[in-house]
Amino acid sequence: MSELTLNIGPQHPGSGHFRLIVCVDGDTITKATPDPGYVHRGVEKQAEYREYLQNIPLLERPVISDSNGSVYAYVLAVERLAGLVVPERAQYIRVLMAELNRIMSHLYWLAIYGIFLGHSTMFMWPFGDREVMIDLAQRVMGARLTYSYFVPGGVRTDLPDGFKDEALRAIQFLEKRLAEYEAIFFRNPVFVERARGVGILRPEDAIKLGVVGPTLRGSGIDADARKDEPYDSYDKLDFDVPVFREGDCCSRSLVRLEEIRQSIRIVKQVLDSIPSGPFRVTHSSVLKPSAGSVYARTEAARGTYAYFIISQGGRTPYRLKISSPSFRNLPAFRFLMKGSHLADMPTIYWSLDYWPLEADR
Amino acid sequence: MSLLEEEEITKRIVERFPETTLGLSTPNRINLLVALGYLPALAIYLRDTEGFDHVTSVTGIDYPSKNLVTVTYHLGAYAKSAIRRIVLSISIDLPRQEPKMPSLSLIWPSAEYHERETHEMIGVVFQDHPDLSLLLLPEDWTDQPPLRKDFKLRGR
Amino acid sequence: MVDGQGLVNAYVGKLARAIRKVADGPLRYVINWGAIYSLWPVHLMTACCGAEVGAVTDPRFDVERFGVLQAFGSLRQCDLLIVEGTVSRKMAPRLKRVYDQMPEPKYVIAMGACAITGGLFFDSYNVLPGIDSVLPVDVYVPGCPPRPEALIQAIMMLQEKIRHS
Repeated sequence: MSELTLNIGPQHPGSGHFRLIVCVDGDTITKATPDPGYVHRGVEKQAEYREYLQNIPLLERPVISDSNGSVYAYVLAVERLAGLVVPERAQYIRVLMAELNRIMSHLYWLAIYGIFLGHSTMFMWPFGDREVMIDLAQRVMGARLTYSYFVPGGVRTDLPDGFKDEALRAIQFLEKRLAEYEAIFFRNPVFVERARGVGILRPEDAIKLGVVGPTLRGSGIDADARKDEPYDSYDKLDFDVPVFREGDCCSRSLVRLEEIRQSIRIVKQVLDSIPSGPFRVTHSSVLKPSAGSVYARTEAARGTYAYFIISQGGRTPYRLKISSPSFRNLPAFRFLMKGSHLADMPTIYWSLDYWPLEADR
Repeated sequence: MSLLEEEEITKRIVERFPETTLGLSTPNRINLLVALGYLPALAIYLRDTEGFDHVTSVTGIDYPSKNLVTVTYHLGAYAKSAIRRIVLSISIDLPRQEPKMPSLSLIWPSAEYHERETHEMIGVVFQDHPDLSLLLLPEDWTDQPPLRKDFKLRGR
Repeated sequence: MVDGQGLVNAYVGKLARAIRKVADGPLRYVINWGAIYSLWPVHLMTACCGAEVGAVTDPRFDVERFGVLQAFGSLRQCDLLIVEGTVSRKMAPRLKRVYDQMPEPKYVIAMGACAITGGLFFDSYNVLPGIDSVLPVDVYVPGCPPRPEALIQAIMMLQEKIRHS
């Protein structure tokens, strides 16, 4: 059987512009080369021309479904450079908003995974429930997806009155829905057939390829920036990092489901124990951090997000490097798709939760 | 938190590779400036003996005033959980006109795409890299590498 | 000698022209009515605004009641192209190719500030300052990202535009 070279993308019934050049021999993929760059917007170069505060709307756009997660590490980095001490209430609010964003991002992932596997109910249900979370976000931050809420020194506004009850109601609703998702999707024999044993990533390969996030935790390695290097109030909160050992698409999916549950646990603790006080430390709006470099990392929904900022004492950063989880998961495409069936391609693709905008920046 | 672990690692590295200078040290961060001649021996030492088993990012920085291009590797550790909190960075200074260095993707496969991006953005040539073609930029890009300081954005 | 076949051809041509003149008004109305209530968009998740296009199909905003169905199959059965977000220089020729592959009549909605003028990324080296140089746009939806209600209003404006075309 002769080999055929197929072009999957950049416009494909999946999510985002990303091309995969696959060579197939019958039904087996012999080689898969990822071709990113169709949404490369040059954010790193643009960041050198904007002041530190002006960079926040720019840097939250790459991952719009988890915009707090992508800007969190930047804000931490700028605070470390400028020597700002964040008040405790702001730390708790940031943790709360970051975890709500994690839930939103995982629900989006779940919805698209449903439609990839042809389960259109699984597209409608999580998307509808995500709207409940977006309502909470709108209540606090004023926008649906792009908040510009985290600023160096704290958060922009305080939580409104009555937020705690609304959030608890939404969380209880979501907990009931998670049980239903398990029933119709994760225990569905079609899903189990399509995802179990598919795209197995062993721990030693996961380390060698340098993957992050649920892709790594689905292969048995429990690395999570919230536990390895706690930031803000994560060290005062009680939560687990879900880890599954099999390394296939099924375990990567279950990691994300369990992460939603752990995020709910964190949100409940934060709502109970949030202290009162200032929500932002005041500083000049034109931040001029001292010269030096800083590397800050947080755990966003898709994995470890890191910023390397070099400042020469001016109003704008000299160099801003973004290390995004989707870019670090790129080698996994080449590795996992080799030898798999062509029909398994969507299953593996979306279990890695690749977001082209985040990888291309 | 004491910096004992970071200090011990730094001491061991400087003992074996004497011309390594230490940058500003902060909790959980070790910043080293290394000479080009120590690679790839230093990389193999860091991977096998110290346990830094993957690359988290590769940054190329253009310093036209000093006539240098600095390449910084940030390394992390997954397998050894005691040093998971530490991020070690090695910076190498290269001449700005023709920046060339041996590719560390043979030692750390996770560096492959990062080095490819640094090549197209700053222009650093990584010798023995499996594939240095354009990754993020359009295929017909003929201008100079965009993250160089001579490359000015439109209208700025 | 008069060419019999040629005479028949001329008469059939005159008849066809007469039928077309009579039926043009009502026929065009019926064709437009069909197009308005079944605008199928191409699945083109360009950039950030794609998340709001996903949200507009969810149970809360439900754009399917306007006839806009996410046709996940081939783009040769679609007649609406929603360009959501930033178009990079690498993607621009592919976008034109996608547009060329769609059958007539086809319509384009430029969604988001990036598709109109380049938006937040106006000074980037790899971003097109708006898609006007690539595609003929029918409706512009400002916002970053526009709310799903704004996108539904854009679809309704497009329906009005088709109705009066």
